[in-house]
Amino acid sequence: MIDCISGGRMIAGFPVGSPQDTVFAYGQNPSMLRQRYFEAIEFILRAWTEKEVFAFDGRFNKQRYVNVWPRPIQQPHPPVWIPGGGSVETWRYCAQNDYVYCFLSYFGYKIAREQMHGYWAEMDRLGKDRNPFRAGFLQFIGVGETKREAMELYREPAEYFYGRCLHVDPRWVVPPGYMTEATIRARVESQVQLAAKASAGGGPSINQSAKDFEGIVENGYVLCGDPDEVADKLREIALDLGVGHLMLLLQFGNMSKDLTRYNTRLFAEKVMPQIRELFEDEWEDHWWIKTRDAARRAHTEAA
Amino acid sequence: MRAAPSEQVLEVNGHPVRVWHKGSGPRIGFLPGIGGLPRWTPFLDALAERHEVVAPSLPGLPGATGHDELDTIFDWLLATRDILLAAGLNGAALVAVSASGALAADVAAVWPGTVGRLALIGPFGLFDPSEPATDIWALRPGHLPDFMCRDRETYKAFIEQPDDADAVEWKVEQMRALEATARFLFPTGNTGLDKRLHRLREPLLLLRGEADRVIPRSYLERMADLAGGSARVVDIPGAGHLAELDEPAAVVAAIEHFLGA
Repeated sequence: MIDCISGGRMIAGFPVGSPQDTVFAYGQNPSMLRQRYFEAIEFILRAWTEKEVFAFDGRFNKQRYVNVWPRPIQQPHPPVWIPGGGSVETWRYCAQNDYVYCFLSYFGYKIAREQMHGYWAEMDRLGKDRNPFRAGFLQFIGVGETKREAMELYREPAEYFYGRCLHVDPRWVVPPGYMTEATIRARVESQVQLAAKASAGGGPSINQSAKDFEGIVENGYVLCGDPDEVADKLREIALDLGVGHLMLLLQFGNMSKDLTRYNTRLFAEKVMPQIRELFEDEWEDHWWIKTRDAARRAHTEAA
Repeated sequence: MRAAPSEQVLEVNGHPVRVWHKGSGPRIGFLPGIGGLPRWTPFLDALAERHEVVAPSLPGLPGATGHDELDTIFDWLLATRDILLAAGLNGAALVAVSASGALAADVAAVWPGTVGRLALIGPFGLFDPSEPATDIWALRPGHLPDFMCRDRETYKAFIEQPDDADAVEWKVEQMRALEATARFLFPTGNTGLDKRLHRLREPLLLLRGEADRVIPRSYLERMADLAGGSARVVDIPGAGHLAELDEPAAVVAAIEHFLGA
């Protein structure tokens, strides 16, 4: 329906969901969560693409009559983007199914480097091209007319967000089964390596999360500056990470409506034009929305 | 140091199932609690002094796989029964702890004759919103030992990595075991056992560590009321949820008294 009323502008993002929501608030069994997730995506894709009424007899979902109406505008179906936190299994799943992989983190481009370089190395191993539109990345942005203005305007909402909005009681974070065994293995291995380093006198490098604005900007959580500076940095990040889709948070923390509009307008008018065609000469974006041909749209505007 | 149990690996429903044996005498089965049986215990040694103890693993617990193929409680009951039969425990007395207590009671109720006398230690299977069991899936990191045993060091020693074990795989195995029990107990531990317990005709012993921080005593009392045969609740002083780890001698004495009665 959203695809229809938007004229084919829907991108389908399918997150597993955070455990505090999916497992504890919605009561999904953590041990079955991923099996259900993959089946649900298969079910949705089939519902979008089957031309006739069909029965879905899945392991977890059983529907005798599936009849999606209206059908999606985008054919064969809206693009699918999968958010992830860096597991190799998710990279492979996206590659196998030709979905966009989006590295979503609130901690900016510096932390994303290792992840995205790992992603592209895995794509190389799987024989996939390095089309940057296969990948997405999330970044907080604060734009001002000058760097100084930006640093003044976005201090409070950034400190509000990083100081107050990220607290989750550890008891809700890792219910058994939420993390795959491959991810547990990778994490335990890195802990073992850190412990070995520490006992050898090297000491583990612990990434302390910043809560003051200077630290937030320094660590790259929020990209803050005048339009040219933000555009230059985003270009550098997009090229370095190899990402063609940027998901930008222009509202965060307690940012007011007026400041959000200001930030969005400055970005749209002065930053976006500088970077929007970054990869388009070289690569085709197979994963972007396909809007309905303007000539076939209903005429709703006054002539 | 006591001799290690002998080990056999069976294939049940296409998955390996480790079975530990020790002792001689009347055969008795043992199904472990949350986390499974990462190592043999003093409790099992004491039980093996006068019994042939047979301790099979269950899907997803250390020594067995296949939990991710089991979706419903019926799947779990069939798998548990298949394992008991494959391990040669058909009709034998059975001790089942915590999570596997829910499965053992149900198998005994659904298939009369599969289980002889049944002793459960801190069993899951019921839920009472007015006196909720501890949500063991939502404990803070590192707190599990406080809830498993009266003395957290006892549980830590139980799950401690042996020198010859792979550090990574040992940890993965423990996480997998917690996941496997979550698969049939999440979110409340209520498996619907209350609807079927009246079918259980064999004598039932319900043991509870007096300091159990997971399962309230009222759950065991209700099981005793619902059971179709004789049933009684016995407290183990000084013990926590996995009472057989805290107070092995007292638990063995209570079980032997029950079996001899």
